[in-house]
Amino acid sequence: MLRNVFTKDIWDRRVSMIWWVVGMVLLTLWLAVLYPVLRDSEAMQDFLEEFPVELLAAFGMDPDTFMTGAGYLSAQMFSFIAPIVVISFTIIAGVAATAGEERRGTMDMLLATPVSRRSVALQKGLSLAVLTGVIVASIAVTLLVMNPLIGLDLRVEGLLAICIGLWLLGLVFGYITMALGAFTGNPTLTGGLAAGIAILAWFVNAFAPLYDWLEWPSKLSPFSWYLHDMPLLNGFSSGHVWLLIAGIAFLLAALELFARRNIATEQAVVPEAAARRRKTKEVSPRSAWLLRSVMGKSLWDRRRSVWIWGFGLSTMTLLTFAAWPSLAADSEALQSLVESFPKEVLALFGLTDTAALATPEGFVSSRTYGSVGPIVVIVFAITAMASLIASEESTGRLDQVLSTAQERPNVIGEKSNAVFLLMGVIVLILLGVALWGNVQWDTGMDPVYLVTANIGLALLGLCFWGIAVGLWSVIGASGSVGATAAVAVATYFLNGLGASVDLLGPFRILSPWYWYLGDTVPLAKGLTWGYAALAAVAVGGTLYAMARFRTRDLAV
Amino acid sequence: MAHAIQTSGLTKYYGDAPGIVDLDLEVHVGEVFGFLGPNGAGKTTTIRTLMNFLFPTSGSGTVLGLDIVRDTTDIRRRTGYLPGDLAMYDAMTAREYLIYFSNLRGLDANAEMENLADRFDLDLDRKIKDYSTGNRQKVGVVNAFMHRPELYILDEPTAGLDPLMQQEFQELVREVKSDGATMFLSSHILPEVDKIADRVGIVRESKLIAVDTLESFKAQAHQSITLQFIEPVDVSVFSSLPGVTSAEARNGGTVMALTVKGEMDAVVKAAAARHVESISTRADELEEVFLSYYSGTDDAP
Repeated sequence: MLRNVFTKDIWDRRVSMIWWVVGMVLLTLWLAVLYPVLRDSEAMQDFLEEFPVELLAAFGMDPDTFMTGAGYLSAQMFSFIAPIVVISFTIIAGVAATAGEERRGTMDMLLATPVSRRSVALQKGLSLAVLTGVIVASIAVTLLVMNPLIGLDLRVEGLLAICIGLWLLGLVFGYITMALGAFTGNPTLTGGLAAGIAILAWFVNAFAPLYDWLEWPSKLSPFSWYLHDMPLLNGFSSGHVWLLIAGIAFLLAALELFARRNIATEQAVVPEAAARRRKTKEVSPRSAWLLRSVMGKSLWDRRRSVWIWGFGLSTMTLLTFAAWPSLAADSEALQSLVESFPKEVLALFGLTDTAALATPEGFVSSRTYGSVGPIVVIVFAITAMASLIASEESTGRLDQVLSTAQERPNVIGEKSNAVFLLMGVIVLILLGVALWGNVQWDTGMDPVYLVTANIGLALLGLCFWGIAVGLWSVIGASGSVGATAAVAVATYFLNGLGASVDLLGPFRILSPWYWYLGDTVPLAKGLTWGYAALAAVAVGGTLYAMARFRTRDLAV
Repeated sequence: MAHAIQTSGLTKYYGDAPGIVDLDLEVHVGEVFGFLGPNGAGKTTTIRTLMNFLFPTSGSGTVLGLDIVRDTTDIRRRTGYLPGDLAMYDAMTAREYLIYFSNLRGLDANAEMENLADRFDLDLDRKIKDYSTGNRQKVGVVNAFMHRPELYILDEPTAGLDPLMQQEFQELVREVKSDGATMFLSSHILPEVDKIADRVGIVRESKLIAVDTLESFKAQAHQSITLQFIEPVDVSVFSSLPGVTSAEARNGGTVMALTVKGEMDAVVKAAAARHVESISTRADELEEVFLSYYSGTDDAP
């Protein structure tokens, strides 16, 4: 497996691929087994016949086909969840391929061999294609097996078409990422830009049915090529050709940019800016102020990215607010949509407060405070732990910090304080934007509940900070990040399953998701005991880590 | 091919900041060329430009007669490289790492890999992340040498190696040199340069300020000589002699402490005219010669 760059890249991911595939198979199974519940729901059938087509399209649903296995999977699996997973993978792998390797410094050694730059980039591009193919194939195989078992009635050609489309879609974003990485050499910037482009492309396509002015831009979105003419039902289309062309074009761009790059000199991309930075002979007053303590340094590290987290989340929320008026125009239809959806299905996604779903509170909650918002704050908390603590320890930087007169528990405490503060900044930005959106689109929510929902959201994120840092203090740098992510996913499903499977009901109370979501959507309730539980875990986990770290070996 | 490395006017700027400016360098085939200079002088920039990790802002260069930009792949096929800031795939064992890199060169360097690992007392079957700095450096050295290239470009090759391993490295350099290989290395360890280099180039503030054989640099070294006479001698007898840079009479003039640059002939002849009781001399370290270049004091010619 160490024959060349291509096989080495695959070898590198041999372990992590298992997790991607297992996750993807479980996700596919999860959605597939829900189908029979939906298909047998008569209320759903009636409703689909009456509901305005454009609004259904905003949910990725087509009334003529939704009740078929193909229509259901197109809407529930292939238009949102599967692309998220696949594109997440291709962006992560795309960042690692060029910018990541360069930042780690291993690119020098690789390019000291007689393998040309273009060949290195091409081999990495091809390994990305193979690995993405494995993930997509795991969906295809799972559905092929489930197809006869639960009567999904899928055509093999359609399944092949949507899966190849998904594979190409992932590669388009993967190669965009590689090209950005080859241009900037900065992994963080590359990942952020690529994710931004992917989210934008998704929104443009998803919201196009609601806004006329989005119609033309949406044709440029790779998502529109991917979903063109319902591939799962109708097979291959011109969309596949566009995806293929775009994929090849971005791969070639990545090759050319990489061949011209000055390796390991990020500044070489924007020489003037770099030179300006270099001319600064003094530490700016703001930096000097922050660099006085461990906590200040932790804030300083994120003095730019915190705005991206805050405004990124806010932008998504704003789009949800903006969609409300057109939905409210058909509020009765929306109400009947919600009522006709099987309760068990909604409960699986933590939506137990079904009565509220057709209200602005419920709509905004389900789209941001109950889904995207928690994901963002939890990912922020876990990545903050990874970079502030776990990677500081494994790279030996923590050794340096502790070689000063800092007390061990203090270091953890100060870093935690920084995260608490940053989380506050993120939700404050969100709160500001939400209060403005509430007025702008006349959603008429109680501002007090907006405040409490944001407090709850921050506490949910911090709860996972407490879990992350607590786990780190016990199991060490390697493994603690993955373990926390696993806890987040497992407790999410525990909350959903607990609401629909009686057997699991009593255990729901163990899930932080339940503490946050409860049975009332966050925007329709004030402060709850659940929030107190979240805060207790956040603080408790941090205190535990501080105490435990006092007597723990460093970096072993 | 007269030169293993030849550059003319090679310049690399990072934005407005100079990395290396107007470098005219010739490294002969078969020699060991030491590339010295203070931190940040442009050594690593030069090396990374020769390897085409960086593209020259202006000027050009050839390595093994091949253009450093156009023919970089062919150059790299025939070159062994060790970076100054060694980063490796931490999750691999040293063996996996080295096998991978010999595969990328399309070679089976297994035997040489084992041989070198043996010489440097390196356990190949541990994960790279578990190695100490010195052991990581050994992996880098093995990687640069195991395919026995024609040219070695090494950025501070012995950084982190213990004295025993430094000796082993110097032995290895002598071996590959006797096989006809060329070596271009940067180093801060002057005794090491003294032992292995034929010629030395010194860079300071992005410019090449001196290139010469090691012998010539040594000739610039100051020597201290202390003469003890039976009878007191007047200090002016010695202080005015050619090459004497300082003269000090001690012990009422019976002891004369002198510093001499270049030939000692005049001093010896002047002393011979008197009754000399004892002579002790000490050659200043090569280090002092280089330091004068590094710091740019007036002492440097």
